Amino acid sequence: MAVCLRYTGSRFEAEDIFHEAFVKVFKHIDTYNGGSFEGWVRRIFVNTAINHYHKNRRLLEQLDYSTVEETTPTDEDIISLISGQELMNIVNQLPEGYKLVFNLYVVEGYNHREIGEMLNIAEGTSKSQLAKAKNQLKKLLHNYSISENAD
Amino acid sequence: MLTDKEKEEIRRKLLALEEEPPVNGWNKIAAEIKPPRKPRPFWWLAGAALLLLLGSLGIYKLLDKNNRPAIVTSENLEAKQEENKPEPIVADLETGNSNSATKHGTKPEASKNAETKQSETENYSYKNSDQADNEKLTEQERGSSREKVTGPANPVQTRKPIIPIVVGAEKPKNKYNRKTVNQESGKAAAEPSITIVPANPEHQPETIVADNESNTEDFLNARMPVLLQINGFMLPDSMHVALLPDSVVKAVTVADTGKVQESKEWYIGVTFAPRYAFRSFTPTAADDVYITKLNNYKKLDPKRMGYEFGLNVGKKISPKLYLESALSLMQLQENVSYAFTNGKVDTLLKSRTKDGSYQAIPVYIEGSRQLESTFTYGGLRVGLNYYFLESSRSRYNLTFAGGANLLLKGRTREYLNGELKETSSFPSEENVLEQTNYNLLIGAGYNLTIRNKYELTLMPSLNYFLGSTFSKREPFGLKPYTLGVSVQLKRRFAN
Repeated sequence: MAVCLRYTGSRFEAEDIFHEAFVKVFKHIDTYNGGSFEGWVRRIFVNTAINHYHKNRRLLEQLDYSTVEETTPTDEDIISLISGQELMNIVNQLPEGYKLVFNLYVVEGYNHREIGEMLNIAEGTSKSQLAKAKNQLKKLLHNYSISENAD
Repeated sequence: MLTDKEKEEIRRKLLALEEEPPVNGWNKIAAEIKPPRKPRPFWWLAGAALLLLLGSLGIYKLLDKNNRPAIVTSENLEAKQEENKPEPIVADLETGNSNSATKHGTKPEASKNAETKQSETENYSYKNSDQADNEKLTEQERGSSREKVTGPANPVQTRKPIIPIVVGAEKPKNKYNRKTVNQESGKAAAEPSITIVPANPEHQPETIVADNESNTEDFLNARMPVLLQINGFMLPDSMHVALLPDSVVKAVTVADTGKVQESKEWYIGVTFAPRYAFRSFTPTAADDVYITKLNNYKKLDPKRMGYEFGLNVGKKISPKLYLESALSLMQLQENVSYAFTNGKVDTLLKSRTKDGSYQAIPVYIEGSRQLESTFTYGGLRVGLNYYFLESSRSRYNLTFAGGANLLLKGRTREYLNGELKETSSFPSEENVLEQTNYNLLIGAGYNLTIRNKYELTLMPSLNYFLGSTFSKREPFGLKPYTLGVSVQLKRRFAN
């Protein structure tokens, strides 16, 4: 379920993906050829999330990347201080396309060529989106750090 | 820019993150991944058809068996059987004819006439084949010998015009032994398959003529083809042939024809039975619904009263046992009401324990659900009725039967928290055999004879269904068993 939440903007959408992915798992269980079952299931979930993204790529298409601010220095310790849930909430604030590339690259471990194939984008686009995602995330973490300290 | 260390930290934390799946997630998934139910009409149909076929075949066989002649018959014998008179079956070696007589000394007129008619017929094949022996007797002698053999009151002895053979239905224990027969005909008469009764028992030992053995063998051998030419005659190797002198007359018969007559009885009847449906609950697969209380589990409820109409046909298969098959139309009603929760906590009650600690007691959100159902079944049932304590006017019976019920029409009204939510009708168009069920019936009844040919039966009975009726739709299965009183009116027939 956490996988689904990482790729969507809301729990509602995540539940849809969760449901769809699980159904796929059971319906295609006969295609599992051994190896890590968890990895196989995870791949199905990620692919389902990407399909979901393709169906709802409005945000990505409408996004004006020029408006994204450049890197902002932040407190390096903030990542180790916050919980996983808080971290995911921050990641989820990223624009849809950034979030997707960031998750696929940083969390799932795909390379840019694979990400490009999965998302039907150029490898360079994947790289640039990742870079911008990381910058955006830095800024979000910084803002979160400030607000936490203020509290 | 995020450093590699930060990226690794993010990755580790995100991968370690766990989220609760949606509450009803599994139900939705299970509903979707559930393989489409393969229609099972052929199993049910095959079962019902097989039951019907076996029942019909059994009845047919019984009827057929009782109508089949027990042994060789000639036209005369058939004519006699039509009159339903129990007759012994006798094969006359000399004339090649088979005949029957009721009992020793009581030959009916019809038989007599038939024999006379036969004696006038000249073109029997056996006659040609055994001309020499036949020439020893004049027509007059032959006629008189028959009179003697089967005559009602005064059997007169002749030398050997007739070889009476009475064929029994039971297989004799010993192999055929001519010597024994000839010399110990008293024992032969006691054999179950062939019974020879002397006209005058006092003369039996003395009047038996111990013919020359070789002559007797020739005599038999010469007539054997004649016997075999008789339509339908079969001579088992174990059959005894008693060669008796004139003083010995044929008699006794095949089987107890009274029993044969008795076993032909059958009946047809109509049944009405009010039935009250009890039930046992069977939990189905785990789900999120927890039934906290069954509201009307023990109470008698008029909404669970149903009825059954039936058309019954029964056939006697032994003196006390009847095979019965029935077509029925049955309407059952069900009313299930229960309180349930899906585990959502409404509030937590805090209570203090003896040791001073606090305990949180959850109060779950509860709902109530009521299902009012009506089922109309068409059924086929086959069973056995055992009758006992019989008197001229009454008898008691025990009944055990099994059958299949096909749901013709069903309807369930669902009330949620007192409000009608949905009305479901079934069987669904996709599966017309939905909720088809097998059932067993046991009962004990009292039967009262009315005007000889009618019988009124009052029988309390329990009908137990072998399958659940709700399991496909509800979080539980419901196995009904009905208790009812069958009132049956039968008309008895005897073929």
